[in-house]
Amino acid sequence: MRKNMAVDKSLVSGSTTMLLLKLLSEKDMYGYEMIEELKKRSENVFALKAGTLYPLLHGMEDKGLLTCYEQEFQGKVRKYYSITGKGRKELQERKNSWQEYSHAVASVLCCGV
Amino acid sequence: MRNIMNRTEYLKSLTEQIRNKNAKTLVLEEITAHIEDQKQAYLLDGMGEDEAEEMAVKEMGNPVDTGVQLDKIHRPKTDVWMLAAMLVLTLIGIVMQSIICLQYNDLSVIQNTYHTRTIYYNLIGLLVMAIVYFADYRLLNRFIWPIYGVYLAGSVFFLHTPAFGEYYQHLRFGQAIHILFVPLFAVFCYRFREQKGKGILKAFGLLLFNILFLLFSGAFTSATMLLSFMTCLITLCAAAYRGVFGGRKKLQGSILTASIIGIPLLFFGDVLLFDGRFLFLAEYQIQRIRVMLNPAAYAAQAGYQTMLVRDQLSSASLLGGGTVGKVGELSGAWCDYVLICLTAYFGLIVAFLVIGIIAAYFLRALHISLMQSNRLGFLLGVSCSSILILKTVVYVAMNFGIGLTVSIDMPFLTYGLYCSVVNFLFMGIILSVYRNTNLLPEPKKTPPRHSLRIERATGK
Repeated sequence: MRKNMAVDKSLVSGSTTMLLLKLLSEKDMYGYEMIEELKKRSENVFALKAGTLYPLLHGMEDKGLLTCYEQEFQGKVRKYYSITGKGRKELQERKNSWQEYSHAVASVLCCGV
Repeated sequence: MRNIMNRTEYLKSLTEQIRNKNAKTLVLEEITAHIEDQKQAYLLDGMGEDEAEEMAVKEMGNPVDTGVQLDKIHRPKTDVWMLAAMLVLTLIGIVMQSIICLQYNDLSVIQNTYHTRTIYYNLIGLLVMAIVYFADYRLLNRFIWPIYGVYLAGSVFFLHTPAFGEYYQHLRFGQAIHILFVPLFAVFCYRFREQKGKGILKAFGLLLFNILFLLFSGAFTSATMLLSFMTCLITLCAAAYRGVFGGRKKLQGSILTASIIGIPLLFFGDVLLFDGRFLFLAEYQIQRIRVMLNPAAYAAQAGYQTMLVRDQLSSASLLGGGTVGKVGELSGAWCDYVLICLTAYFGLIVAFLVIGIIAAYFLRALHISLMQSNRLGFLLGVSCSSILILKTVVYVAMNFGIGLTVSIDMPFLTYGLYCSVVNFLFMGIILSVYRNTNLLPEPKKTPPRHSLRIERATGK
């Protein structure tokens, strides 16, 4: 049981990184905007807490997958994140891994009746 | 009863986990903005002020967990390889300069303390590097106008003092002054951010002003001036492509790239086709370009050094040699021809290894600068890396008999106090930028002139 919980936790973390990269591959966003967009697109399945989001974003920035800049929007200065070339490459690799994984899961689920 | 944390308690609890002071500020601003956004959303949903605030903080999650995760990310970075390579290359430079100086016979030209002086000069350079490495590079932005004022006043003063009257001192100091403008220019580019074409014109205007000012002050060292000018253009181009000025960055970048390629072509074209008439080049400058293109035709005159270098290179062995060769007997070889002397003394394999390490060092410096999110750090790193790379390229070309015969120093290898201090200063800036990756928030824009005057009057 404990082993399954460990796997699930890392799967969630890995998926979230991929999902955030996907959002940013479409347009630059700030933190709150990412949480709302993720919630909307996943129909509230992915309700990411800010306390989880920012370590992920800062970690990706540190690895060169994202850059950030400040911009004024509706009178507020916000920190926007932008995906880099390295980030796009990482996104593609993660998407490929995910597709391989989900295909394998689907195959197993379909085979066992 | 469950203990509900308020915003202040949450932020305090989170930032307490982050050890780096600068990172705390960075994180605090972003998290506070997020809480505000969340609160606004709840208010729009019809919640009351207090309830919205409480829910917004609750939505943030556990502050200690978040703070611990952020602390792991926000730590000063140390590039051990670059620091180690710097020490190794400095040692190689000291050894080579000592070898050349000790083998030089004409004691009317060289003093017998040069080989010990070079140790002191490098130690001073390393000390300067260490001070800058641990400093906050944003101070350059904060005090840019006083610094630039001191730079201009200092240039005029020192170029006209008797102590710098001797030609050699005057030349080296003039070179240092031109090169020192490069990081200052990077800061000014940052200052002109988001001003689109106007910002680029301001930067370009400042660049021209600086060149003319130094020319009229007597710092006329054409090669270094041109190198500094090209580096500033490269910095401007990098700023444009990065979007520092705002507006159409690809168009801005393309125009500036065309200038960088066009200007050297203009010089060579003017000399080759019109004898330097259009650019009003001095005769010795025209001669230098002609010698560079065909040194054999001037072998008995200005091309002598280039032909000597080629001759020595063609007879260099793969390993060993044990002598600095005829080039090492040229006056100033301990400055201008250290690399060809190293080739003669230790062999081609060792020479290419040293060039490889130096090239890898500066390319890494450029890479870490290009990765900076902080635009000020990006511009400082790119400008300092670029000038060091350009100097290296010109020096290596000259030492392999294929470039202009000019007085340019090579980082690590060239003897001299000014060049050692300036090169190590630039390396310190690059490493400081890297050290503070993702730690330093960008300096905020200063308010417009009229309110700045008010702030000054109230002592802010």
